[in-house]
Amino acid sequence: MNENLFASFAAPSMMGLPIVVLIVMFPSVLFPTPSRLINNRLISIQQWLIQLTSKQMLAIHNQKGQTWALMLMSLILFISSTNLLGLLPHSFTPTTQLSMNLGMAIPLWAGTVITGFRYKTKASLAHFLPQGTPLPLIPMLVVIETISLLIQPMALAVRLTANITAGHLLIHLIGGATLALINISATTAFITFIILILLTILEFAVALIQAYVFTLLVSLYLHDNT
Amino acid sequence: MAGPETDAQFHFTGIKKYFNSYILTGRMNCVLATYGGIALMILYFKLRSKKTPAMKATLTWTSSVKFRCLEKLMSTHHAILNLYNKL
Repeated sequence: MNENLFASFAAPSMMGLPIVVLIVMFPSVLFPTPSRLINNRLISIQQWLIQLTSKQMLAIHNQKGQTWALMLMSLILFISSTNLLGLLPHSFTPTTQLSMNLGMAIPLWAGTVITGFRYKTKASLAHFLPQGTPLPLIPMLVVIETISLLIQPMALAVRLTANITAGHLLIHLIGGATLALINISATTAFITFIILILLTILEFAVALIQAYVFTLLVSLYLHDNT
Repeated sequence: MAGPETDAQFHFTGIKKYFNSYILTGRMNCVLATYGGIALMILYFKLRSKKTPAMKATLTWTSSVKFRCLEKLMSTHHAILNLYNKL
């Protein structure tokens, strides 16, 4: 039982070969490329969703920030599709791996910070000291703001990893509990099954929300630096 | 939001003109001064000698050529004595 609990988070391999790259690339297959002026219903819905998300997300940005539109849309599509596919039974979810999420968070955060320092050096440096800080508190606040900046990519990655991992673990545990309770008490097993259904619905929401939160935070860091 | 347009309302004189927490330049200079102070502190503690004068004198003697020759001579002497005792 203990070994099985974390087996789903191990890097998958088929006949001794790692297939994690194929799994990471798989969601892109599910998004068809529009090839006509007026496309079929599926592609039209896809285009409408992307347009809706991009309009809402890029409304706060200026021209420089809007150059990141493709990056942000790809990010939200990738994370949401990966998270949703991970809810299929016995599937591997790449976003449960901290290495994967750090690999997304650190370059994106660093990109926003470097952009800010390059184009608005004064404002980026001044950002480390909140306006109106009393004189004795200045050194302490500068140190605190620096630490909070450096913690941002870690928080981004760990938030996504922890949410998805915790959800999958809970589903695994409650599913196991339901199975174990079937022979003991059918009523309790039924109640646990209802809880499992509600949890799965919650996990669908969490999968989409976490993708949105990740992308929104990257967008906010970009907005602060452009 | 802070910016050049809100900075115009502040009029500082002396050192406060360059180091304050209200205008953009002042905040930037405070941040740079804090980083510079931290860098200086780190440099000071790194370059500071950790040895006392007595330790320094001992280490100077122990690292000298004379001491190393004497040490080698003593170890050879001990080795010959041990060999003699075994025989």
